[in-house]
Amino acid sequence: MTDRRAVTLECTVNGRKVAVKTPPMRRLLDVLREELGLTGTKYGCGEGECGACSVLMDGAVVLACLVPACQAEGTEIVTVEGLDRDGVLSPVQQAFLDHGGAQCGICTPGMVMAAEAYLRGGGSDDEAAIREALAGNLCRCTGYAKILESVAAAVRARAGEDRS
Amino acid sequence: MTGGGAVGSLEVVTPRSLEEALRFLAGHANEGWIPLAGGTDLLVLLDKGAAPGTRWLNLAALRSELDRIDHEDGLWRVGGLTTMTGLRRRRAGDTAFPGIVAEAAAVVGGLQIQNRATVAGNIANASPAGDTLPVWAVLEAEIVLASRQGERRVPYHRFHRGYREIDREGDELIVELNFRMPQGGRTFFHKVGTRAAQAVSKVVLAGWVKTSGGRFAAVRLAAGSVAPVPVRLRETETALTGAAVAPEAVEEALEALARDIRPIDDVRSTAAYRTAVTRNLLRHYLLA
Repeated sequence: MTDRRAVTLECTVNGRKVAVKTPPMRRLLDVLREELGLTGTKYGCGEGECGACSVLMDGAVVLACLVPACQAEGTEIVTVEGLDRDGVLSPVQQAFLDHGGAQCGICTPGMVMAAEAYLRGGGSDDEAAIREALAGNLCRCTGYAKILESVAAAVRARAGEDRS
Repeated sequence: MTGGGAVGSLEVVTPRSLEEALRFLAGHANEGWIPLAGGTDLLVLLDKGAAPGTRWLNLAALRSELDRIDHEDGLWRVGGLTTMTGLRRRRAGDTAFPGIVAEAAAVVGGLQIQNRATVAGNIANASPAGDTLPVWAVLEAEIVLASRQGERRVPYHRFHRGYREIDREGDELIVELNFRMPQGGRTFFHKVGTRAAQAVSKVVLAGWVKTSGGRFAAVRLAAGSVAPVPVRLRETETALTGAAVAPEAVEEALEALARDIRPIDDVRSTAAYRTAVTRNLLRHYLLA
């Protein structure tokens, strides 16, 4: 009989295939941070309220604190560490840097991942649409104006790249 | 909850198909296996040490069978593992799909929650504040439960039997929710929370009304967070039916609301506020 209290989670994280032996109900967040050393994904509230642990799972933004390891099996995970290309920041990362989108930084990886999902989904620079895309992410520094500015800038930067 | 400890003692079984899941449940009906869909409510409880058990039936592999929306002869059949995002996408790509369903799906948490939270999960979690639940009540949806014995169909209004109590046997899974849009009329949906996203509701209201010759010809109303279960406002519906679509007549009919709802004071709001807001919202939408 298969072990009900341990699984070998096989999935792709930031383009790399991984296999991690773990209790099946362990949070993806803990697997990423503690087993894979990917501490960019933050533990904020642990109950789906703050968005600090946002990652992409099969292209959709999800909360790593609410995904058990057994449900990440066979998926493709992207964390904030997986956005740059050989050290060149992604448009979203660069825009947060350029526009002061980070203050204390705890919410930033989650904000960046939610914004990344928004850009990948073809989002526009419309402020209301960006606000909805980031509605699941809290910034306790209340630096929202700069964050919205950053995402809008990333959208425009991407549009520029598409034209070039 | 970190690496070892409590989480290491939890058991998980991952069936590869619906058939395999039902076979497993048939043999283990009284062992407290908890169906795990998107996990957006259950993992919160787990984190707080308040999960309803230690044995989990992981339904992730059933998505290929139960994440679907079919439309046949006016009957909408929504698979139990359809996500809130799935409901919103359907509406975005198919205006025949009822807007009121997508409206409710859009206020369930943020996008991160909507990408995971499922139709069956929201129903089975049975929170009196569940955002989609008043909509299913208004649409008079039918819940389809499957077991090795076959299918059992339960009208939505009979499914929530008491506070967080549902009409589901230990060997059953919610596989589908189906409904027909009532002909004509208009629908409305409104959630009142502390903020636009991520908040648990203080009051959530859904309705469908049809008027004819200046009077309410047919009315269906339901509300959440105002009673131990999401409730149809049947007394109010009766009082409104046949009444004139006019401020005074509506005001008089709304006196019946007190007999439909049993709001309480809790961490999110007060009974008085909930009553006042429900009445104000009804007045607004009935006369809109």
